[in-house]
Amino acid sequence: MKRRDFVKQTALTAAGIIGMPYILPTGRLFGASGSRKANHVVFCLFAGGIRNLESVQKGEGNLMLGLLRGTEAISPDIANSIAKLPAPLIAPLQNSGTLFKQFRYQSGPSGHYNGHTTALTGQYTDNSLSLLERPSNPTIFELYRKHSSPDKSAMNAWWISHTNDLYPILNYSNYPGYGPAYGANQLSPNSLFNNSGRNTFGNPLQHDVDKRLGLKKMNAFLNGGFNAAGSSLNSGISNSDEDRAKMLSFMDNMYKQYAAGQHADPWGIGAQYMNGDMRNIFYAEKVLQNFQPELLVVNMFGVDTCHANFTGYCDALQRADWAVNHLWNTIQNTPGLANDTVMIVAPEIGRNGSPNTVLDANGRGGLDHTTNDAMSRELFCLMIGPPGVVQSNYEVNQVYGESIDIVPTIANILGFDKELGVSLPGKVLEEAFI
Amino acid sequence: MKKLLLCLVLIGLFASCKKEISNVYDIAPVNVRQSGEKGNLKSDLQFISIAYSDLFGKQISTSELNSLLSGYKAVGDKTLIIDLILRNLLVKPGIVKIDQATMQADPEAFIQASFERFLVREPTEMETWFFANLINENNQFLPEDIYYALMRAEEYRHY
Repeated sequence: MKRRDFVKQTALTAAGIIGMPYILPTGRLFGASGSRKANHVVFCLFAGGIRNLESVQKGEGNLMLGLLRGTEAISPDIANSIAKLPAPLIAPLQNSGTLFKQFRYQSGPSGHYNGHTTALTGQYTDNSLSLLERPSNPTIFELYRKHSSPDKSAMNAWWISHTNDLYPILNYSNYPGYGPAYGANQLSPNSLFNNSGRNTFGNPLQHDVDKRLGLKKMNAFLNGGFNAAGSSLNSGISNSDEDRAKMLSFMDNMYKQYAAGQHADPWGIGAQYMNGDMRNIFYAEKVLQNFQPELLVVNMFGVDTCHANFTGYCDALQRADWAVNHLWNTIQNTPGLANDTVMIVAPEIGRNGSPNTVLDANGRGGLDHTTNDAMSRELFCLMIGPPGVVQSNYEVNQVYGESIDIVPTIANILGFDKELGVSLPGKVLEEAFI
Repeated sequence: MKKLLLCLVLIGLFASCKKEISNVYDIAPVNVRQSGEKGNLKSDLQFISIAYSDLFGKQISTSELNSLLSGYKAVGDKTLIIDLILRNLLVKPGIVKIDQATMQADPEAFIQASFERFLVREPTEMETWFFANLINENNQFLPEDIYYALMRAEEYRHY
């Protein structure tokens, strides 16, 4: 080879190598460029509608000893009507995080479903939102699974919903290019792990290895010869066979523990105190301990009793607070999650400034959440995480942060905010980070 | 004139006679079909109701259906929860099944009956051979295992 040709070919090869993009198995040209702040995010939707007046402003005393510092006494007229819970397990979480005291749900109807949809999609909604349809914008689960690199299975994204009505369908959207292939594993434990659920689902036909092999052959044989004429199964999100086996094993364990009475008072605080919110958090903890997912969203809802029972609302608020404190303690004691998890806690909507006409046993008026009431848009948000990542013991007292900021913030923590295929109106809550 | 009158009377008589229509209300015979003819997906509600009817030979009660649907809606992976529903139904007392010895004594007849029951068609010769062979190879298979295999098939999700 002539020297001139050699130099030319070498130069072309070098240029090609430098210029050639890395084509990943996912089909994308480049890997995720963002660096991660942490490898796990837990988003706790402290939902059901909470006013800042009873939460961070402590208008009835400190009802949230698990999250907020202070020992302000509870208003005497309701103090004897709410549960006497033991002290929270660990110090108030605000000591280890950043508390946004003037967070906002800025736009859209102040309904629970609207608030949930906004929190999970990072987009405000309007009156066209249908309670029977999936979101029209991609959820945080889909954004994470589609844009986080390398690709993540559904075992890394969980939506733990307090009920199996309405809210389960928030695990993925109808948005073109997203949908069930990128959805979260949704679980509504309160509808599954109870007496009825145990009778219905807790004793399945079991198969040993030989039988499983034979059944697999039968399945492949039958499906191989069947032409569905273009229709596809409506199977929602899907997991690999291996992951399904893990989930079935998890459910089996839950039923065994339930049958053995281990779920009656799992936190040792007295079975009478375990309400639906606490149980939902308890099962979210079980999912975290078993699967260490990178993204888990869990919600609560008990405080919504406030429409007709203000004292019950205060009672539910302190139980939910106790549960969140327990959740963070569990995270910090779970290998793989400890010191590598950021938790975000925020209500989906607030409640009205003025009471309605429904009085509770203590003569307190109930509170609705009306779209044109300013207080129904005032929230708080607490972000807590590893030292060196999240500012600890820090309060943001001015108006800062909105519901739509949570999705981009999660994307930023998990390092895929620069990879998003859709435009998000919110911003990263930089104020919380070091 | 008489002849004309007679003709008119006869025409009138014939015109006024109509064949009596008799309505018969009974069960029409159902013809078993080939698998390729099933192009419609059962809804989840249909699937659960039909699975119950196929196994127990009776309609599911409202309370049982509600219990199943409650769990169904509680899990996002529908393939997983449907599998769990089927496996739990298959151990409930009251399912219509033959005993294992009868199945093993004449697997071909068992396959024939099971295909007609669950897939509403006759098995092909190949299918009969395949399933009979597996039953003969593994004497641990129970009739409900074969029911489970048929109900897990994609074909069973269609009608």
